[in-house]
Amino acid sequence: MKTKMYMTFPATLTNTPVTYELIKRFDLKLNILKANIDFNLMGSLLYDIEGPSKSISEAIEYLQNLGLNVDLIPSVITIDENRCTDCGLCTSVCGIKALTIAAPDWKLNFDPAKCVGCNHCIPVCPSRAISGLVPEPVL
Amino acid sequence: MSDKREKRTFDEINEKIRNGTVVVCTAEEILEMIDRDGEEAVFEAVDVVTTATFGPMCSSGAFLNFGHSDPPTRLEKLTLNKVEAYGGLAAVDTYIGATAESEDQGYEYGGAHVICDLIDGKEVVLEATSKGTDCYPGKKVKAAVKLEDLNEAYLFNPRNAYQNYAAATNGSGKAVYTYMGTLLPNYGNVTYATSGALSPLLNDPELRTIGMGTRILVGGAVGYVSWNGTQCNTAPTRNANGTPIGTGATLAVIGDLKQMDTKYISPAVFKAYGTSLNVGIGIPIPLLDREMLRFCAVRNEDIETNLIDYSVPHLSRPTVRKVNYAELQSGQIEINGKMVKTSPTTSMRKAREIADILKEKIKSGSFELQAPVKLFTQNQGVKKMANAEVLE
Repeated sequence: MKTKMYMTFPATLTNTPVTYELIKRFDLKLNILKANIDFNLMGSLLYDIEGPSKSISEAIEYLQNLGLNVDLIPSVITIDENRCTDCGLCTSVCGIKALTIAAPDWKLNFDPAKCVGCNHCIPVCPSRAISGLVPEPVL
Repeated sequence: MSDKREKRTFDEINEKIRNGTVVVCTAEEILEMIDRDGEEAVFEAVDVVTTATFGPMCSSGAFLNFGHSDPPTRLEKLTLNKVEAYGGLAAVDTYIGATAESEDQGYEYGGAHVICDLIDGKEVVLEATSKGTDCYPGKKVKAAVKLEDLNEAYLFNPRNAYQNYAAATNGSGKAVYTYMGTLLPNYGNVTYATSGALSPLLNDPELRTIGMGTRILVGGAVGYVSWNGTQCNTAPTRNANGTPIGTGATLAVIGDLKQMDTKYISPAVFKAYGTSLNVGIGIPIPLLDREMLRFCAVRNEDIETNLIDYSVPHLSRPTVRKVNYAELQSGQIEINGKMVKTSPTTSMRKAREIADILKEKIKSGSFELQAPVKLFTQNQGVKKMANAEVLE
């Protein structure tokens, strides 16, 4: 299976090389989309993660036992369909082409699997219809 | 062949609307019909073509009348949900502009949001002050009002429905934030407005049937063209088909807020630019003669506009290339040998919905055509600001 995984680290665990462990022990294919450490040394990581479901479950159990908060999230953004006008402006900043709009129906199409969580679409949407599920780093 | 139809009039069309025999199609449908049946047969059959657009139109706003407080207070300085409205009218009249920004939320909540909150029936807080006079002794007033509490509330937009509009890109090394969206560096993207072949004024390029008094749909309600729009350019550069290239004519429109629906009018926020208002406009075009049919037969490949580099901070910005709407709507165009993604700012989905609603209203007899009481002056250009010195 392929999905996205978001974890937050308590300050005491921020220095733990969990990515290494996930690759080495569980043979998972990881792509780090976002990583951050805040002023309180709380860390966060967003992965694209690929591997057998069993390995992913075992990896989650391992991380939770370490004391991390782990969530599998199918999508990093949500689109409020009542607000979206299908104007298509968000597609202009979606370099990975997860957001697309085209003839003949001119309805916005979102492919969560393609989305890399860059969040550039969020401030660009004129109808404020897009929200991010992963908080932006606060500086 | 002497009984062949050469013309039809507004009166004949309205008679057909009343007796239920009118034939209406959208400006997209007519293209398929022409391909299938030919122009001659289509002109014989079709009476009215519906056109529409839905996109950000900054030059928009609403006149509101609150009725008087007791004791009466003249609203000299006033805000609605902390958004400044105009106090230079009679005591309890105001105009709120779509792009006015709120004191506490900036452009995330502006005049457009106030207007749409009113349409949605939400409570809006009026706060006003006055110097106090014998006629209007009150000096400070606060009221929570809903649309139903107001005497009159009508949208009056000085410049809507641009005939054609330049497409936008950015040739600089930094992102540029505009009302055409965020333009990425080094020609990283292209954005464009108008609904192309479905757009109202592109189907009547010389404004032969659309003028003052034309009955239209605005924000989902029946409204009217009240004047030509500001900066209305009726002397644009035209291509071989007579279609304006780049900006052209505009319309001032009016409509009753109390009849509107926020499905067809909604606030728009542009990062590092400000607040605007998405306005949905539908306009019927009567096929008065064969020439009007030829105008309505305009296709995306026949509509051209200039692609402008928005990174240049001057009034006249360089044109990168000329481009047509078939290219823009294909999703990518070539700039300097590189394919660049194109994205719309106008909702084609909403525009189609509005054109369909207008078609159904005309067919069902609930929307008759109004002939313009005055046509707009042609061959008139747009002036720049006179004697201006930009001080900062």
